[in-house]
Amino acid sequence: MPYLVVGLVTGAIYGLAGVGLVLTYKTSGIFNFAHGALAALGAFVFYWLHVDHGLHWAVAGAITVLGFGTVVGLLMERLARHVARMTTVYKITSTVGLVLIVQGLTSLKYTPGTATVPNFLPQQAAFHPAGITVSWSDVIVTLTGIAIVVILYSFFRLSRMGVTMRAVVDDPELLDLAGTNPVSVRRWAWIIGSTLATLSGILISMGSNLDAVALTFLVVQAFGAAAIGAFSSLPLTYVGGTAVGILSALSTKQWGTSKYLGGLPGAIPVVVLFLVLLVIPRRKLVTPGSAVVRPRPPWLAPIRVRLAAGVVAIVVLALVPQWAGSKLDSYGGALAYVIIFLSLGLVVKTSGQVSLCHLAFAAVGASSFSQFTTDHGLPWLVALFLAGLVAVPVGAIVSIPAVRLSGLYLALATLGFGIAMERLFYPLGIMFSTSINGRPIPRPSWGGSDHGYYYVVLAFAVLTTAVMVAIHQGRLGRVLRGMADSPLALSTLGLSVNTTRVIVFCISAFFAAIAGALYGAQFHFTAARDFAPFSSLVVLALLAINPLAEPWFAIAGAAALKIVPTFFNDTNNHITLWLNVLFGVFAIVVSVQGGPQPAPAALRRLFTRFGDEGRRGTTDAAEVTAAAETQPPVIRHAGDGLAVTDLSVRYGGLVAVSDLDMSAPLGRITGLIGPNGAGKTTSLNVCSGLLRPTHGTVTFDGHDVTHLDAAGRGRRGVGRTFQRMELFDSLSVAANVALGCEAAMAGSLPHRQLAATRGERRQILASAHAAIDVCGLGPLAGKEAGSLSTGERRLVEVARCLAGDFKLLVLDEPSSGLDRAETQHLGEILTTVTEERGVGILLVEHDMALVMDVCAYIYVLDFGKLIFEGRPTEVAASPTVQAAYLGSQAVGAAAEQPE
Amino acid sequence: MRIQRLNGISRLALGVAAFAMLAAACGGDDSGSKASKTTAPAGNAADTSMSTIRIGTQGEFSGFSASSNAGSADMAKAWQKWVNKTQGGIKGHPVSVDVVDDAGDSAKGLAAFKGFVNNDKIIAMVSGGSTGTITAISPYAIQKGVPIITGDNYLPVHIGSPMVFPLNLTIPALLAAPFLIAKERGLKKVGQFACAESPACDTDALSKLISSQLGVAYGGLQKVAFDAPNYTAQCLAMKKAGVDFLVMGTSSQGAIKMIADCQKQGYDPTFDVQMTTWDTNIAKLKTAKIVGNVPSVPFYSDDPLAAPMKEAWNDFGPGGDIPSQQAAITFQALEFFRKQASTITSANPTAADMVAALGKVTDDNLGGVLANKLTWTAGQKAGPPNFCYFIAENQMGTLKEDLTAHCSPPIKLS
Repeated sequence: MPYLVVGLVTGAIYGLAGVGLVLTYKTSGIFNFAHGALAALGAFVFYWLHVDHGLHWAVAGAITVLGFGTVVGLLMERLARHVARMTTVYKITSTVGLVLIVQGLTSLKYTPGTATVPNFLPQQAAFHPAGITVSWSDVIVTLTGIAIVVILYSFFRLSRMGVTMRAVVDDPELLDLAGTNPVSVRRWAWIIGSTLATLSGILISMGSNLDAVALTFLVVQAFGAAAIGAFSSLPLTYVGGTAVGILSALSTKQWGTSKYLGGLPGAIPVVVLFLVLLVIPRRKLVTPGSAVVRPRPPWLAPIRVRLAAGVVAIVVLALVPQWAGSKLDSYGGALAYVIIFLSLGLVVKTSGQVSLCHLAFAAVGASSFSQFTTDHGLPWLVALFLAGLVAVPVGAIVSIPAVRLSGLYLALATLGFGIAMERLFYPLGIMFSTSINGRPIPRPSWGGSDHGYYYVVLAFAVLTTAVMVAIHQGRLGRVLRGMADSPLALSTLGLSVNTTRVIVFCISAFFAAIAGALYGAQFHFTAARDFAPFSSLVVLALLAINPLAEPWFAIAGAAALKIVPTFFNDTNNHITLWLNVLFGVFAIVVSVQGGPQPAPAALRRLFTRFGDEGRRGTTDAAEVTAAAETQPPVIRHAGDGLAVTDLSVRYGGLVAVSDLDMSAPLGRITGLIGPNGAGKTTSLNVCSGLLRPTHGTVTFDGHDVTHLDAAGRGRRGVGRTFQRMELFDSLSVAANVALGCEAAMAGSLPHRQLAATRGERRQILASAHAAIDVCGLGPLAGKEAGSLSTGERRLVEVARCLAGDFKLLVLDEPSSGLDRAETQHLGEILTTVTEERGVGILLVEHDMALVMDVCAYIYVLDFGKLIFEGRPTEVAASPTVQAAYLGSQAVGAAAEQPE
Repeated sequence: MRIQRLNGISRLALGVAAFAMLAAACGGDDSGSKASKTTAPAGNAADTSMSTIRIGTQGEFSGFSASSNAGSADMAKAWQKWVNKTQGGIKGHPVSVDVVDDAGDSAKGLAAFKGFVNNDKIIAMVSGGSTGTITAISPYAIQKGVPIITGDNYLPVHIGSPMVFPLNLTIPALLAAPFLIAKERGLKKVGQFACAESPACDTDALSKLISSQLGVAYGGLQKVAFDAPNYTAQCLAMKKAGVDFLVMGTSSQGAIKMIADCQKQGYDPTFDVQMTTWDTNIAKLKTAKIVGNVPSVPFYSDDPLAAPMKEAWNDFGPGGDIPSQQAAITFQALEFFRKQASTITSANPTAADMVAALGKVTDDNLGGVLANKLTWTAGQKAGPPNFCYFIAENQMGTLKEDLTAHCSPPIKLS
């Protein structure tokens, strides 16, 4: 009971912080990782006014919360507006930049530990429930939190402004049309959120020393509360905060003195965050849908230039020991960080995912390596390899959230994992021993001197670079790039994207672990402080703002982090803090721009004198063109095709499709039409495996595939296109089409996803060439898919399907956006592939001319039910169909018209 | 590379950052009081025609442990000026102290130390603390034959290193001291709050051993995270366990908050705060009974033994209250160095000369400033472990010290 009371009081603080966080997320779509930094800033401003300038606490508080909080809110709205359409990485990077700026400036102003916020609320005991003293200060904080939640809840439900705040996230343009300025609405939302942040910062820091890092991470613990509220419900978030507080208190009672679980009380909030994200139904984790501005991939210089630069870089790095002097260790450490950046780049830059726990892998590697060498006497190289392997299952564990989450939620899950590692595992003796020195890490006997070991680390950095280049040039690199643009498309093409995610996290963890061991050996010891969670955020941000391609971004990032500070005689660490501030500013600027800017035209012109612009390991047009001589054999497919029986799909109380029986045999184009909202796309999604039916079965070639996922159906021969096109926009047309064939070949087995055989590669190129030829896309083969017109993009999507070995194509409005001539061309293509290859097509369309022209049989849906089926002429003549499209009154009126 | 024209938000971001940088730069840290300085007496200046003796000092002056090390860098510089202007240098040689903030980072610490050795040609590193980096630099110190005099606690790396000369307590004695103090005061049960962030804070197993050997009951260890919103649960656990002497293995700011949270729940034991984390925040607390074992004269002491330290601080440093025990240990370590360096006869003292001088230290407690009488033998690992300590106290705002050496018996570790 006493701990329950303690937990309620602690939870009030988590709840208050969480409410502000959820509020701004609800209304802007931006999850503010800098919420804690804003809270810290509020605490510092309050201290400055109240203690340094002697203002009464109420006056100082009012100025801070209402004045400063408002200004910060307006600035944050401006920032949020600019990053709203950026990818998750840049949304996160912008807030990480804010954290760095706040931490740097506040630490410069007040040395950590030198400023204590006085207790300005009454500390006298209010009452004693269960023998616990609850002070008036605790009561005020708790009641304040509850009051704020009640007011905000009512505000969102009942007030016009509150409703518009909820609407602005979903559709700001619609809101604007309705006469409400979305910018104004967002400003108010951010003002409220920021004032809450500053208020929580003041209340949390009461009686404590001002420390920006501690305050930032205190509010990170509120993420657990926000997760319980599903990042949307304010009351649930507050309740979640209370629950987290109670759990922490109870676990202190239970395990506070435990040798192995003593860190659990402090880790409860982030453990809750991680677990909730794993189990919460995905439909509750809805992010506002909006087109995302994908960063332009960095320009690649011609291969000759890159090779020459690589040789020069290796030579320069090899000469470092000649002039580095006492800084040689820093250069060695930087080389270890090159490996860390390369491994993280595979996850973030190549596959488009987010990981905020990367240094935890390095920690596992360093700790394991120390134990293998020092405790078990294994040879140095063997121990290093094993240390990398130990991190692989850890990477697999982190990939579990990656399988079901993406974007922000994946970022949060990985952040929670990283902090949980620090709280639960780093303090254990098995990780870094109980010595304050940490664990000893030996250098190899054959490279133990400073010069010798530098070359050891250099060799590993070069080797890792070579491996990464090979990965990028191979199949895994190609599918990762596709996954960055559209994992959905890859899945329907037959690739088991979940396997790919696990693979990339495992590979990344392996190399990060090796880097951790190498870094530790550089300094002879490894300790927990070398792998702090916040460092993972800094590494991610440095990676995100780096404009260079692999492997140069790794060299630049490592140099910025580890080498640049050594050039300053930083006697009081102020230069490091200023560098952090500067870096934070750059992080925000680059994020607002949606990513680093491409190489200037002048530089590109200079380098392309030495050859053509480099390709990034994907298929290029020249490869495909060269494959013209190798034509793939034309296989005429045979089989039963697709059939759905008694299909029903329900969304809660809404019936989207009801009792549908339909078949799409091979060698026939089958149409599926109906008015908007009839259930056509839902039916297609069930057919292609993207949606599970509530009832009914789906068979393909006589096999029940009802419970087979999209990738599985893709490998069995069901391909599809999308109403909202799912192209790999950053890749060329040739690369897009080639993936149509390669994805299914990569399939679900890890070893098949890693590399393609030469025979497979020839087949892929030949298939791609044939598909591009059929669709008339030859002149566009080298162009970036994202730069094409709508009609051209539709054809690319179709060509991608044709390149794959699909027996049945499920096409969702493929003529949408095409003009008359393009539509006719499309119809010819569809007819040709059906006749020549025996491919079956299930076609959803609104263009009735196309449908009537190409379809041999048509199903008509209305309000989720099948209302008619038959040949095109029968469908056209059916009064039932006419009534569905025109309305029965209109049909009746037309019937009464004199001829 | 031409920088693309920035859009509005980018301009605004840069503008805000520039303004904030200016504001922060103009603000500065205004912690600590500043008493008016006395005029430094003209006197015994070093002979600038003689070679300069160079020393390096590094520590964690920023970040997590910044407040515990508050004033250490200033003290080092103040000592330099005091020695050069009033003490005649070191046998006439001017002395120069190079100071680096390693922020507790091994990489920075090692780079700084190598810079000291290779560029500045120091003859010793003298440091108030910062254990993590001493571990990293110890191998290089051995390789280069440069001694490290440290006010840090005596750790295995110290015992095993012929180049590390610690002034502070051996770790087992450091942990035993609270039990002994509790026993002397008739207190019944010792408990611990230990920082959750570092495995090194988990001294539970050793504490149980010490408890059984010294015959003082042990109430267990609770982990406390620096960024926790409160420590009520941990306080309740200790209260329930009947602990009446609570050892705070955490920073001073954390300790102050923990003390307040415990007292709020009516739990007001005697608190033991490790002396290496004592600072003015702890010294000025008026609401608790706090003790600590200290290897040397406390920073707040008015004893004559503290007079040189205060003179240096007031005449050549920021003046006012010395902000932390680490600052005091820094001065004391430098003074110990000066005493031993004064025995060097060479015209150009080197690190090897310093090692030889340190190898002749016999029963030296710097005239009573140090609790331990140090004995170091040339060529061997650092001498017998240090078991003795003074006691510092803050009794509800009244500062006291007991400068009698209290010594722990040897603790059997197995």
